[in-house]
Amino acid sequence: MRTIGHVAVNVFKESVRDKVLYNLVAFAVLLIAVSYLLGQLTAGQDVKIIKDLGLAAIATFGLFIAVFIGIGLVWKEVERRSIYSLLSKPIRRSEFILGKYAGLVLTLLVNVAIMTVAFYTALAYLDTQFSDAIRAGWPAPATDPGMLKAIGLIFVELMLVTAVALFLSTFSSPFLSAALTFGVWVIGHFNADLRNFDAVVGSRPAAYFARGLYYVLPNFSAFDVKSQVVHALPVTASYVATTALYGVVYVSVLLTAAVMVFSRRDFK
Amino acid sequence: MRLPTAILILLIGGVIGLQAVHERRGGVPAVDSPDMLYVRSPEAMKRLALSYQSLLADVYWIRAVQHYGGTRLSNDPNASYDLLYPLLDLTTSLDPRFNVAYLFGSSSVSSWRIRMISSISASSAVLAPSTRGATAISTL
Repeated sequence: MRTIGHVAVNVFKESVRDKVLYNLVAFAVLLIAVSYLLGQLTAGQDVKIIKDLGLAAIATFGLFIAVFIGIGLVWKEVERRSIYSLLSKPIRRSEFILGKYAGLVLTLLVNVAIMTVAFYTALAYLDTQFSDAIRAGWPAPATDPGMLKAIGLIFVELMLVTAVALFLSTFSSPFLSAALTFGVWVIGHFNADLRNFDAVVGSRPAAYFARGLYYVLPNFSAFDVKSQVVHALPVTASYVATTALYGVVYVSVLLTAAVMVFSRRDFK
Repeated sequence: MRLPTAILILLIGGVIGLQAVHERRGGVPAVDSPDMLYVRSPEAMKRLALSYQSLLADVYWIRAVQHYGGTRLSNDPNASYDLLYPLLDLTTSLDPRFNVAYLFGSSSVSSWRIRMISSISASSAVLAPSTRGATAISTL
């Protein structure tokens, strides 16, 4: 366990040194610029648009961090040949993989947490710009804590994306891993179409095949409750819990597979 | 100033100058092309949007507001609101709970329709550009 912690902390330090946290500056600039420009562009709806944009930006920035760092985690060590000196130390291969994963999740956690704080700060500022009469017409207050449910599920989604990227990076090149991870993410949003494939195609085997893919591939659209929380529709705790559990179980599957693949690899 | 910096500035100046020459020779259309709407199918847009449905709904809402205001204020006699319905349709399909879009659409599209009918009966000259709008009305 301690070994995993050491690897994780080092991944976090490396990502800080790689200036990953600079994306927070981009996030802040985006939010400030858009909240300033919106008054010029739209008639009302500022708070809804900022909420949509903030949540989408948290998800997108996190996605890019998860994919582009995740694909390099194992590959970089192999390419730089630092894996030899690492594995000659008292560290198991499973600990190496789990530590790498935990480190990137830690990086994502720090990023998402800071972005969430910036997001709520922007909303709190925007809240002061409106009169009470306008505020009364909103479905939810500007700094609605219910949005944390959506951010929590975004974080679980990012954990899952990281696990996909890490799993692929244990055996394939970074470019292929990145393409495949994005591919899996996109397919995960077309889940409803896979489920209802029989409505489009008459062939039974094809429909069963698509149904099978629907169950096997990660269902990323389940983690997307952004639009519900913005309109203050109820997102039940049981839904959040089941979806998070689904994410965690899927992550465990991928990490187990990654450890299996990595343990069998022969470094020469 | 060191030589590389000077060369860099010179070259950037050259690029900007050549772009200006290119423009003067008619490389770029002089006026903005009329409003374009590439994807009109709400079903297709819903799928293309992936997890950004409500954000795209906001984008189409802003476009609808801009289209309405721009047409309202323009001096062009041929200006028409024919993108208003598709834009609002996309907005409400991407985010069905976007209540303001329904309210705005119900008043703006219907007031445009009344103006269309009165302009058709007033003069036959405006009939040609408005036939497209008339078919849009029948689909509403």
